[in-house]
Amino acid sequence: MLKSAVWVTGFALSAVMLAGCASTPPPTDQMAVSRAAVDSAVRAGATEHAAVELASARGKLERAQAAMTANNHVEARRLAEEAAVDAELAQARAAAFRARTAAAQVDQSIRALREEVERTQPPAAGGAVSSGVPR
Amino acid sequence: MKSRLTRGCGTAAVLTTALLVTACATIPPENPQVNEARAALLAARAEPTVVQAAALELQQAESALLRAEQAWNARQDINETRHLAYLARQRVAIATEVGARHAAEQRVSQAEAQRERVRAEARQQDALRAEQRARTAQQEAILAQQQASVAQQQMQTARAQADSAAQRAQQLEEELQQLEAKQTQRGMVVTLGDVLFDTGSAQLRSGAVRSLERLSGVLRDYPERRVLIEGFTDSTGSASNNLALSERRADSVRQALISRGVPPQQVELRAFGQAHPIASNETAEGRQLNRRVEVVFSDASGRFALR
Repeated sequence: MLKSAVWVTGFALSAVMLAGCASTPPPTDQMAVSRAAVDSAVRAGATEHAAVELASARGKLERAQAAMTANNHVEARRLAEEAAVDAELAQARAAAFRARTAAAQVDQSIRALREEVERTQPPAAGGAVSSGVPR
Repeated sequence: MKSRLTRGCGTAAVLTTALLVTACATIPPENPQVNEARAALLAARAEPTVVQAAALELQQAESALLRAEQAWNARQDINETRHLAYLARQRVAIATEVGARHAAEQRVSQAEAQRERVRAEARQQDALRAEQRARTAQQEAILAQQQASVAQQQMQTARAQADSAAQRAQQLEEELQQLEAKQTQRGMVVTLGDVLFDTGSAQLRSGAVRSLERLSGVLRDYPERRVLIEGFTDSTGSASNNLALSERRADSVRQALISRGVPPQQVELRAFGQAHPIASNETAEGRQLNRRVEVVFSDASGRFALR
């Protein structure tokens, strides 16, 4: 009986305290950081090459703004933080995509160079090619 | 006022947690999101490209994961833990992307070096081929030079041979001049006159000995030369008698040469009788001149010019 009483009191207290703790400050700094991260990701080409992560970041940013307006600062902070990390990931993916594309282009150009070299050079006059008549 | 409230909130939260912890006294169960995040981080740490290129990003993921673990172990805050685990997983993904970008950039920078290698190899091949061509040309030049030198030697030898042949011919001429030989269109000709024979016969007189000795000596010294012994008579008597006589006289000379050691193959015989007179048959002197034996010399290869 004592145990359940302690439990009830404990829960009641935490509910009151947690409700009171809803007045954590609004995460305006984090929102600014997150917006900047989204912009940075767009500049890095995330719109084309990391659309999913960018959309996720933008969506969370909107929800964070709505949470702020509803004075749900804890939720707003979390959403803003997640938006920022999503934007960072979008940027990293876009950069990796561009680097891979550049590497593929370079590989292609080297292949083309090799082919050109083989085309313009006559076949090797070594022992590999056998001729019927000895010199 | 706000700060006092925050401090009050914090203290109350701690008290609540303490109450709950002492009341429950159980070990907190594992959090699946935290475990997922940790597994992802371990997998990323196992990739050498990620470890090499994204050490900072991995560190950030590590910090986020620790915060998630703390939030779970200390407070079992499901929502905060889920949120922090999400951050940690995203940070791991960022580290992986940075690793991939770095690897691609490495390929690009290596590719430049590779391109240079391909070009350098092509240049080297060109240089080798040019060198080979130069060597071949050099060898051909040496060969040509050697051939030219051989040709020159051959020419010199031929010239020397020609010179010595000419010398030899000259010497033969000089020797035959002692026999009063004449240079004709057909070659050198030694004429043995009528006086060398008994009248009307093919018998050689002793006065012919010297000429015969000289002739045989010459023929032995110049074995490349053959002689054609031609017999002639004047027009006195019958043609058939004259033909027979001219043949007997020519043969006498032939036998005389052979008996002095001249090989028979070197001496040919032809009889013309009264044909081809060289003087008028009306006078005695002329007739005597017509009665002759001509010894015609071949060229240096043993050939005779036709009459």
